[in-house]
Amino acid sequence: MIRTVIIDDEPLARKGIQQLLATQADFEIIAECEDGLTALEKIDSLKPDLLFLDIQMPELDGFDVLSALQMDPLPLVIFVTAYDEYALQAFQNHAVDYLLKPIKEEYFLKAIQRVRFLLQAKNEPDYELRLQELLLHIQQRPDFIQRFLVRERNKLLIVPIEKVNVFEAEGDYVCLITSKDRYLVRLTLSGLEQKLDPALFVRINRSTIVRLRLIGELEPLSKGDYQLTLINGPKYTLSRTYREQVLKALQ
Amino acid sequence: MATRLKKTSTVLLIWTVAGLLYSAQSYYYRLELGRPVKWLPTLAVDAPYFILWALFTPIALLVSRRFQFTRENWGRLLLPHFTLALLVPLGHAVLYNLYRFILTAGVENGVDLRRIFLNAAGNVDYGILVYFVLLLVINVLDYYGRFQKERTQNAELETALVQSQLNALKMQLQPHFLFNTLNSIAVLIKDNPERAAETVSHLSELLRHVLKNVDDQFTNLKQEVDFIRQYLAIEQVRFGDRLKIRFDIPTVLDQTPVPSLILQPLVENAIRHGIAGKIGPGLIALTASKSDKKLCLEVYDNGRGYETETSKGQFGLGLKITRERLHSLYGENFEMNFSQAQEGGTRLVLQIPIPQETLQ
Repeated sequence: MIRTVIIDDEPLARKGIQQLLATQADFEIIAECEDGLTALEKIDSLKPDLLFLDIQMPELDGFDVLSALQMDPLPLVIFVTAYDEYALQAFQNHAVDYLLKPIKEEYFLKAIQRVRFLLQAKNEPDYELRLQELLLHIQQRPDFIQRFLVRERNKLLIVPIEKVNVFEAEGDYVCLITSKDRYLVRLTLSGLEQKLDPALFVRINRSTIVRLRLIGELEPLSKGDYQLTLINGPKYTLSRTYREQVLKALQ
Repeated sequence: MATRLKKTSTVLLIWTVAGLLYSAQSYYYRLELGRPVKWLPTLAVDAPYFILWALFTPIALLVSRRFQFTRENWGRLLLPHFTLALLVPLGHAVLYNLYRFILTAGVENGVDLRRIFLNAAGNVDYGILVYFVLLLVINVLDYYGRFQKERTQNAELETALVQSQLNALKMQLQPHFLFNTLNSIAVLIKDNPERAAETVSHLSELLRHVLKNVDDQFTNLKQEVDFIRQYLAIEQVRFGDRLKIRFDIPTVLDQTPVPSLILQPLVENAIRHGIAGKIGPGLIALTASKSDKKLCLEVYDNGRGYETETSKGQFGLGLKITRERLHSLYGENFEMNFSQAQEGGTRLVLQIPIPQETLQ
């Protein structure tokens, strides 16, 4: 049996895949999830062979789910999307399976035939590589990051970008500082900087990015550095390397 | 050509008036000092001093445009400007003194150029002053013209922006929504053919509305609400019957103009952030009312509420575009606020002005 999980926020869309799978005796639907967070929990506990993964979902989308997966090896994934030009291009470039809504039966059958083949061939090294490359590609998407997925002990948490006040580099990690908490995510500060809206955030020294709106005071220190005070209290050093861009952003 | 003639005669007129004023002033000045003075000679001597400046106005215009000061180049322009500020008034003074010479001595005994030049050099100082005032006026007028032009351009840009935002909204509505709805219909055809047929007709109504309003910034409240009814009916199909919907739109407000497609992103937000992910039935209520020449539209959802919503304080893309669009339509004259409802859930209140002619 090929143990399958369907992830889509629309009940009728999940039903559609059920309908199509109903005639395939070797597939078993072990879970249906209507959001990304539940999906991650289910995948962690059930270790399915195959995911039907919708791309557009509120909060965590399909790509967020994929990048947060900790299963090894990764399950096979058939992406499902109604419309997303960027994603389609990525799928084509990396030769992973995807289906367009409304789903055409012929393409559906082809896709699951390929799943059967890949599962029999077992560790086809190529497949996982293609998925990894797809993920890398997706992470370079031109849009700004909206949220972070944080693992805390055995819990998964979504931290929306609106809640983050400061990002601090800590070794291989970046610490997200909100008004109440601190969270660690595995990221580089420079990589993160590219994914932040420059109208909202600005880098102030080698290891800190702050929310522009929160900058309260600038006081000159020696050698062109400044002491930067946030309106909610914390003080940082604005190094002269970043001084120009901060002053520009503040205007 | 007509504008050129108009400009030339305006310049001539202004200088003539200046000349007349100057003559009058000079006349009364001499009268006051008790000197013998007559109208006509004073006019003949003094008025042409200014009328001659009309001849030099095009030169001043040319100079001020050719050597226009900017932040970077003013240092390099000082020399040519000062040179011309001597030469132009000197030219004027020479011409004027020639005229005066001819007026008083006539041409029978020849023209004493040496005297004319000496006189010109002697009274060029007043001319330099006039020249600088002239340059100043030209610059102020040019600056004002550029300012006006920039303002028109900005207004045009703004209209274009609004138009593109409207288009963006339509695009945002169309592809995702359209294909997801088609997918739902495809599934329903096997599962519940009647419901499928119903959904097809909702979708048709919706598309008809979008196509009809494709170029219009405004529609009326009734049409906008009908559009939302179709939209919500489809969302009900997509998200199952977890969605309850309530409308409270007084019919007296039916004809009130509203920006077209303004409600859809607000309602979509209520569904996405309020209802999706919620256990138990979700409720969306749309209310309209009129208060103090303003139309008040309210979108309520009984979702997870203000505190936990990701959109708290900030807005999703659809809402951001809506806010920008309202801003370019009404300036500061609108309000769009979220608040936590007492009975739980979130209330979004939108207030826009009702145009004068619609108010009875």
